[in-house]
Amino acid sequence: MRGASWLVLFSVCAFGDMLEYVTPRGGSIGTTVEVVLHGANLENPKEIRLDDDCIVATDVAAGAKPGNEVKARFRIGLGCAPGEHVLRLRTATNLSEPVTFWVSPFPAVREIEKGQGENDTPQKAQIVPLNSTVEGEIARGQDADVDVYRVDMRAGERLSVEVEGMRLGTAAQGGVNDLMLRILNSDGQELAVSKDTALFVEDPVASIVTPAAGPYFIEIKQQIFTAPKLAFYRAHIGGFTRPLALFPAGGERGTSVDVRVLGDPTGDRVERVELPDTNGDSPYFSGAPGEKPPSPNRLRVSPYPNVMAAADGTSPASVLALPAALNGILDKNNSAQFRFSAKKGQAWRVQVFARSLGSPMDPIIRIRPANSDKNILIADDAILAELGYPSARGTWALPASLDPLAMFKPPADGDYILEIADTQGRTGPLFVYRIEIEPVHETILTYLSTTDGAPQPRVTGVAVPRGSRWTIDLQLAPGLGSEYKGDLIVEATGLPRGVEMIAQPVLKGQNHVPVQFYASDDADARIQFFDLTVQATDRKTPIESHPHQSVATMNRGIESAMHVVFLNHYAMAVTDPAPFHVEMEKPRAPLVQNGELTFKVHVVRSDGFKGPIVLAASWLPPNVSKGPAVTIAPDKTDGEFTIHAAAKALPGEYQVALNAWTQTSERIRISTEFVPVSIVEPYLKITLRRSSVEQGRAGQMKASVEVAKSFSGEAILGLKNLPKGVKLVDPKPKVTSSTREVVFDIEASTDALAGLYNGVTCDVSVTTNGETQHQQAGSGLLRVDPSRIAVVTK
Amino acid sequence: MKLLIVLAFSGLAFGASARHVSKTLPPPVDPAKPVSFRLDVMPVFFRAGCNSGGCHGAAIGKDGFHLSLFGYDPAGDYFRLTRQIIGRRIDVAVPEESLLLLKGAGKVPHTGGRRFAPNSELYNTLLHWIEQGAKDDAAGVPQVTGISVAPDKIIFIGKERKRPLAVVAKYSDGSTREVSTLALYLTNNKTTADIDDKGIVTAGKRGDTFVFARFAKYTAGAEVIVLPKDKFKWPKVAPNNYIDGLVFAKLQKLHIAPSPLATDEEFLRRAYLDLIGLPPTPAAHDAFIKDRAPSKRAKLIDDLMARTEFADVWTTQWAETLKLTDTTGNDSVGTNVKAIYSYYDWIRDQMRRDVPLDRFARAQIQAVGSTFENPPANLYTMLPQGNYDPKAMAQDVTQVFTGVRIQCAQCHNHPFDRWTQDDYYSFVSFFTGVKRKPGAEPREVYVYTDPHAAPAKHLLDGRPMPPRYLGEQSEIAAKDPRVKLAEWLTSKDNAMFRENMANRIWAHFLGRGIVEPVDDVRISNPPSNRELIEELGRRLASYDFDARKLVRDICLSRTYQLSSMPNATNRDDDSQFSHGRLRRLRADVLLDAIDEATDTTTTFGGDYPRGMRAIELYGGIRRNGNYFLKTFGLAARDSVNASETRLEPTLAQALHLINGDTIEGKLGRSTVIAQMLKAHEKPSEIIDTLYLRSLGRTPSAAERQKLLALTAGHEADRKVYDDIFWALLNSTEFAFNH
Repeated sequence: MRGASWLVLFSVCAFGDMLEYVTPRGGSIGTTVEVVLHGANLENPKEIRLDDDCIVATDVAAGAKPGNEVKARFRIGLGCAPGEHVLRLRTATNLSEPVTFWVSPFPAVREIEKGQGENDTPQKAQIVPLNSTVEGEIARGQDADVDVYRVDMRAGERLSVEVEGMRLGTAAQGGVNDLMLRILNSDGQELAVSKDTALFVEDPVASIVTPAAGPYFIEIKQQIFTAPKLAFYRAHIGGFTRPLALFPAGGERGTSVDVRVLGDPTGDRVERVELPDTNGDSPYFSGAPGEKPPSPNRLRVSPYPNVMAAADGTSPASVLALPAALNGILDKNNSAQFRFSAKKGQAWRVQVFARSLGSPMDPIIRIRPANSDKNILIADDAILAELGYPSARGTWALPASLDPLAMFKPPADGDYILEIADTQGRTGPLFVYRIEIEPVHETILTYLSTTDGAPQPRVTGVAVPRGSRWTIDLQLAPGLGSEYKGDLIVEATGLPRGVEMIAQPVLKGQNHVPVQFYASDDADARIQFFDLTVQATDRKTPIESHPHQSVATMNRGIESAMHVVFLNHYAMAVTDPAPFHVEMEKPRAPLVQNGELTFKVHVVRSDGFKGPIVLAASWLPPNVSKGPAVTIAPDKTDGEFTIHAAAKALPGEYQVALNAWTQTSERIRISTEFVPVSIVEPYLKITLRRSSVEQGRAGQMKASVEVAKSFSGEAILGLKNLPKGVKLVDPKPKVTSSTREVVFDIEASTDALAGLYNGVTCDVSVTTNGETQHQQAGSGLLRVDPSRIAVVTK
Repeated sequence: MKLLIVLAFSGLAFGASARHVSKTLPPPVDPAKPVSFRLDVMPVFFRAGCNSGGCHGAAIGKDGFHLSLFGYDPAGDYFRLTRQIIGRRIDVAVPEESLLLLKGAGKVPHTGGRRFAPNSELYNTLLHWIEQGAKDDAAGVPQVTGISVAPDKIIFIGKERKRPLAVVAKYSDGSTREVSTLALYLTNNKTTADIDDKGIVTAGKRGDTFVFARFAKYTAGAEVIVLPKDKFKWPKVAPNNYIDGLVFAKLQKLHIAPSPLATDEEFLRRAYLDLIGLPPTPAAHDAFIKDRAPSKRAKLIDDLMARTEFADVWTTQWAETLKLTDTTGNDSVGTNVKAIYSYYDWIRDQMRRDVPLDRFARAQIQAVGSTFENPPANLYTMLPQGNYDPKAMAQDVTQVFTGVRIQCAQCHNHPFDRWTQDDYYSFVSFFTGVKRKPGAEPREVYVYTDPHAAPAKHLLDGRPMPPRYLGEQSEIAAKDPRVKLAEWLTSKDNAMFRENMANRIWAHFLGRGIVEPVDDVRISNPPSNRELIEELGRRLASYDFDARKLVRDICLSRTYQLSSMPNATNRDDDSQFSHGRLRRLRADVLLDAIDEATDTTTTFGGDYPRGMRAIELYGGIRRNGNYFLKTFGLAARDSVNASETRLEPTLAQALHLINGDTIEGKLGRSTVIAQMLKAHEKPSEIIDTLYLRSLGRTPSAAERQKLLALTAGHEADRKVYDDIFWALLNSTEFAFNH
């Protein structure tokens, strides 16, 4: 159970600063497509970069609505993989968030529906050639739009339809693009219907063998009417094979494996697949040339061999040795068992791949000693962060999280039985599963928090103006079972020429770290993909580390991701020089526990730049908090930013930088250089005694002083949190390192609120090196008594 | 069924005879006689109302003093009286000064006022108990095992007659005792028979009802029939089917004559509105009136039942009962519109395919799986509307499928019914194994069973309560006890299910349940015609729960087809179905009727496409936001209560029809009159059509004459006809099914 995902996180709008979507939503291999990028703050477009260089963007220029549209031409190479591609836009001043563009192996056909209702019935269907990709849209308005396409088929041919709707991830606040499809014959008889699918979640697929020659109609509409808004879809209509599952769902790397292809209406078949040399997911396009589907199935590639479930399903299959990948289909029996040996002291990472590969099952696994009926491990759903999606929100529900992931630590040497079943006891011909049991690799993933920084983050993107800096708060996520506890250093690869990274070491126990980038005046102005990884400081423990960022391209009102793009790199754009520069004075005094420290920031404005500038901190040492962002007014050049250390803040030396950005729509962001901040223990410990004062009278509060750390000169003590009507009488008491007792003179007005007040505290100001630091100390009780003198005025 | 037992052994009693009950124990007012805490003192708190829910019986007590609700925990009450604050409530040294007596007798300020007089029987019982040392008598004290009333049937001839009721309690040691002065009394219908706190029954208007006595945790009732003194002659009416036989037998007994048969026009409109939620079109009216076949009413019933709109009417009613809405706006609890729609679509499919009601109920109660793939699993998301609580689930399932409300038994044995806390927690255990988890996408929820889940624990002693069917003793052992529960609940032998389903159908067509409300079945709310509800239940079961067959029986009955015009004998009858009942149209049916009459559509906006009828609105959100539907009392679907659908008229409704934009706006958009004018129809033809479209009848000669006078000289002026149409749509006759 993923308890956390039941929480509701009300969050900011899903739209980023800039880019929302691209039209058309995709293109065909081997063609050049004129595209329009839609969004806001898109002035001065400079470059579009796709994650795969097989698509090259040229002729990038302002579109018909400058600032909201950018036009470009996408040349889609012949070697381009069908499916999702991610792109970003660089403008003179910024880098956009990622949006997707979908590549099809078939020629594109635009839906023709000028007035609503034009293609809503078989009689009015738009005729499309077989093997084409229809680029359609559910028309806006209150009428439920239906789009019908006609293909003319011979008898006995395969007709497959795969719709990309929700997957397109076209941002559509308030509406969802949840489509269904039907295939009808010329009599209007329904031959296939598809709504949600295990393979593509909300997106429908259907495949039939035509019973007779004649026209066939493909109807696409919303499952439930929701006022359509950017409800684009791409429907691949063709004679392609659309496998729904592959068995086994993977194999040993670098080997060839005979895979049974399931779910095709012409029947199952076996294909020999050459597996790559890299571990992990591998896309596989099944079928003969010319029959391949528009999107791949996925196979798992592992550095260890396959073990198959027992054919009869009653006795456990033997696993000769671990690590191993266990494979089966729950098509007849509602559970399968595997027997393996393990030793006490081992730690095995057990991960099931079923729903995440498109299998309809909801797997659950149980492990018990072979000689016992008592399960010692039961695993059902997995936590997304443990699955390697650390930046996923708790509210996300993804198919992958239905697949169990657990650590198995054998309590004793011996044989164990692993059982797998569907949580609802279901079976089916597509209920393929694969269980990978492998030793733990020390793994630490890096990612950027989506709440990083006060303005909307440019998710996974970093824009650094030439001659300036930008600081991010890099998040670290140890993998399940990882036990490394030592210090870490951050490494960057693939940075643009002229950009350097300044990263602080990651101290033991920390799960995020400030990382700063500096772009020189002549750094390459382009989008570059780069990696941030961590390594053990002593370089002795090998740690697998890479970026893994999850980006919800389509959120609903409460941050429920309907489609998530996974990225394994970061993107950086070097942009035009910023019109301002920020310098932070090195604090001359330390930050005292339970005290505060004020940074002085100076802004150097270029000629003509007068806008307000916002100051904020993205990273601070543990248990140090910040006040709200500070705005430096247009006519000002100086600002102050205060941070507070809690009593439990760990003494030590830290590096802190502040971020600053303009409040113009384009938001130019830069950072100060790192400045050293020392956290120290307080100078004084103060114990306030219980005191009382009468309304309209003077009184005293006494305190004993203990010097925890000696200081030169005098400290001035004040009182804070005094009740209404009670004030401290000047002069404030001064103490030196030798003071032991101090007396505060106080005065209560005649209308001071009578009562008992807790939490009166001392404010200690110590001036060292000409800089005053504030520390809070002590907590006392003051009683305000009613006046004993009655004043009669009438 | 305690009531039945009581009925079985008691004879009839006519009014005004003296009380005659065997007394084995005299009331304990003799100071020398030992006073029992459990037998004598506890009933005082009950009778005086001290331990009722509004007073010290509240969960947190009242003014610092807590008694167990209705006295379910005598040991706890003894502790609180004598030990909680020693010397405060009971003063054994000076018994009269005990706060318990001072407060109860109103001698010192008491929020509850004076509960009994000094020296009254109740007062003296407490006093003597304290004088005797305020002792408990825990072990070995006989428990009340039941009560009976005598007589258990009273027939009054004429108003204002009186007859006392005697209440006898039976104890576990076999003894009995008259507890008339300690029991509480209530009546089901004050206008027919009232009962005072001494148990004296007073006859009111003609009719029959029940009066009840409550003592300890038991309730027993007596049927009261009040007949007028004047002579009564039963008219000659031929029953159409078994329903009429049972209804007329009861009417005859009550000296009530049924109204005559409704006219064809009345029947046509009634059948249309009840069966398909729409008024008849002028063409349908024409065809039906012209049809001379004697079986034309039966044919109409069959034709209407075959239409998809028939299924829509029942789909929306189930959608209301099953709470198809999203009150939380939180997808992760599974009430997103996609789940609502998949559930709605499934219900509609069941109704269209005429899936038997037992199968329909079973599919939901037993459901596991995805709320999208297996829509009946939404029972476990829609009823909770938020976090899952097995107790609330058990309560809702019982109320929805049997009409029984067991929630009172959560905190105490049900005061007005037979359900005990044991029954309650055992029943809850059918649902403790139900678990939910997120599905493959944010709006989807998986419902599954945890076979290792612990059963519910008893509130009082925390003992685990394994699943047991309501009112039964044997424990149900199963991996998923819901499977067995669903089978038991929907079995043909289970009168609770079959009678409740039959009663819900009956109530739809007759405007009132035989048990009313249909979802408040309890001993103290007996059916107005027991033989009828039992027979309808049996028939439904014998039809293998094919609801259409029972609907056909009901619609074919003369009872359903009676005119709503009352006669002298049945004017006051509200429960015996002696005449057609005036019913304001449900909000959605009314809106659809206005659309149908004016040939316009309503746009509900947002997430509903254009052209949808109000009765088809599957979700709760926009539906609830529609001003018309809200004003006319459409169920918000936030509870399973049948009373959620409100039919009472309000001022806001009248003002909206007169001044609001619904009728005014639709008349503006309607082309009905314009088309008739374009076709050069005569004023009388136009007026006839407007009458048919709105009231389903042609105007009377007088009505026609009056209206023609208005059109004279303005024969082609649309405004005049708009005014007539407006008046017709604003008439009570239009808004009511009659």
